[in-house]
Amino acid sequence: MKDEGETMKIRYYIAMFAVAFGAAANSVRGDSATAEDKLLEVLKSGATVGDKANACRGLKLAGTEKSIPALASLLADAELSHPARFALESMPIPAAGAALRDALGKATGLARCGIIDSLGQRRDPMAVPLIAPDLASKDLVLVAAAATALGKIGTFEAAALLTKAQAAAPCPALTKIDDGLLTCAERLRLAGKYDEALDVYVGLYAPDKSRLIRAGARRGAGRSSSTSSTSRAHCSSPPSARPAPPPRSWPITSTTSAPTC
Amino acid sequence: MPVRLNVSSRRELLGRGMAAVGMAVAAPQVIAAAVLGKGGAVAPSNRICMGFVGLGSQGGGHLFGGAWTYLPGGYLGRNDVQVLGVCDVQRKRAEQGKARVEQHYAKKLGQGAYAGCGAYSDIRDMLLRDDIDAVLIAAAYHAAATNVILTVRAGKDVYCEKPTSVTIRAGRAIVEAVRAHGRIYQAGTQQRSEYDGRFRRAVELIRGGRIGQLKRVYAYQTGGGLTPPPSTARRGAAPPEVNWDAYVNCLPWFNYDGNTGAHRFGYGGINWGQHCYDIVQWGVGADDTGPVEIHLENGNPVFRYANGVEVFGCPPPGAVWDEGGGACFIGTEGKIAVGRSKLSSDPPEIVKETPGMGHTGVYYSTSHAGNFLECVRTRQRTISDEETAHRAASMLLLGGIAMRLGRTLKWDPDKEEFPDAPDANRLLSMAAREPWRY
Repeated sequence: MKDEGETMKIRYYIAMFAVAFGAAANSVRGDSATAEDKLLEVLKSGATVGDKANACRGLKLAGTEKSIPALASLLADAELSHPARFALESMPIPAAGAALRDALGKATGLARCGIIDSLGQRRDPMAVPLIAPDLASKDLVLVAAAATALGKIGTFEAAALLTKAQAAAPCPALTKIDDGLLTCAERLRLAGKYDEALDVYVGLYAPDKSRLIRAGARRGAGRSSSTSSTSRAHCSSPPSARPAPPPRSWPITSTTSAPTC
Repeated sequence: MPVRLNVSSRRELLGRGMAAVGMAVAAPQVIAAAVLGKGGAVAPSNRICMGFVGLGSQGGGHLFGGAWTYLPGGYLGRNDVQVLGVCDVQRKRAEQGKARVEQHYAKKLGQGAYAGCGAYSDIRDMLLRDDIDAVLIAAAYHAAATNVILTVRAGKDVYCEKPTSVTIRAGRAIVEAVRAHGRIYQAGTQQRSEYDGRFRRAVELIRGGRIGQLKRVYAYQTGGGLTPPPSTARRGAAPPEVNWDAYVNCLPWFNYDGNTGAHRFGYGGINWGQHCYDIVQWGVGADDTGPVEIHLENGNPVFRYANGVEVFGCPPPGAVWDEGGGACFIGTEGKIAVGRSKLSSDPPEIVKETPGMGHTGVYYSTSHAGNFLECVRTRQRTISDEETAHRAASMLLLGGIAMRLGRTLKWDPDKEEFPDAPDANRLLSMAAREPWRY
């Protein structure tokens, strides 16, 4: 019986992937409707959670804009949220990002954390103001998800909102936010925003930060420094001739000292 | 009210950072013999405290030693390492590992009993310990990226077995996390250090121009990738002795099936391939980049670098598949074939030369574990650092994507995306199941 069950499982597995592979091949030829429609039929039917989850996974490759409403309707579902994200997260379609952002209004718990993570993976700058309020949540898992996602998005606005959230954050949450800021600074640096990255690193090098965060900030600052405007000025000009740093559009240190963790 | 940053504080940070970097370079840690412990033991302050994740044949071999391992007695037998934690999703295996570690230290210290090693079934619990400096990960490969990123975010250095990631985006996330947190990373691509230096010698000869201009490489392994098992509705429960949620990790959920193997759910050369492509990348001199095109020949990937060198994901004509992680390099003036047990060349005189150590700028290490521990102490880059590992894994995964889609793909190794294949770009990542995000 066990062998038979295994065989059935393998057949099913192969069938699901055949659908997905077929859809991928069809999409190259521009006639993906059939495979996508079959998968969408599963989602709209009374199929089991497992079948629906596998259909979502098939849509990772086969899905077009047509699939997004059906996938979006699953994002707040505790069991099907992840399979829906499995398809949506990697879709190079703006509507997929919009569906994930819209779902933040409905989803809770781990489903919400997952949606936030997908928005972070997509580096969706429009999601920044929607995610930032979760930095003040009492749910530490949610705070971590929000801080990580904002760090990955890595924009000035994300850095500013993370910095702002530091001031009011209790100790365990502050650690997560600092971690997100460290990621954010790295993303800014990789995007060539050396001065902005350096500002974040300086804030994270404060004496009340953890040894880990300070170590990361010090290394990051070293990497950012060779090309930052401050470093250039420091190296090439006498003190009196050094230019003032360019004005920032967002605060880089908090006026309120953060609690020590 | 916004507060402007004081420029002097930026300079102060930069000055301290640079001074620290300078000190690290100029003054590696030297401990006087007098401050070492008795009988040649390493002083506690200079021991590296480690945790181990995954205690199967690979992880258990690293920890305890064994037939395939490179360290007699494993890390546990080293005087410069203190094992403080062991973790396995099979709780019984973790408890047995803890007991074995504690028996070892009790015997070593001449005590009746010793208690100082924790047993965990969830890596996150082990990472809460402040006293662990470094973690060796040899768990299921589908969880590698999650485990590594959790580890570096917890402030630990990390050694991770191959394959080091199962998607290219996850590999890049590892690189960014390691760098952002200033951690030391080493991949378990031991061929760079072990096997009597055969692989290094081959690379030195190739880079030294002994086979002329490099034209082709045979990697012995095809491409590969991850195929998560079919999803299921949550039904039933795993037995209490297994932490099934930690095993499923970032994958789509599937119910307990009694198997916590490390090498499941893959296709092609996913398990072994990174060893081969690691040597290929090393020989080609492409540790920080990748190919620009992948096409298929007889179902196997062929990679082309920007300089025209081609890498075939198969053995050379007439050779067999299993050559122990090897590669065959063909240049305008000869060829070099290297495996774990053999280094040969055509003409044969090439490998009889002894290239001077370091003359070709090839990283020199004769012990993979030793190199990792040394770099943990000195904060220097390891021989198989995060970027090197990511690029080798990327070769394997790029080949897998081309095989899966069945067509030629252009690749931008700087942006790490397919410039004209949006469907292929969808296969660069895989949404992680919460809370096992990376």
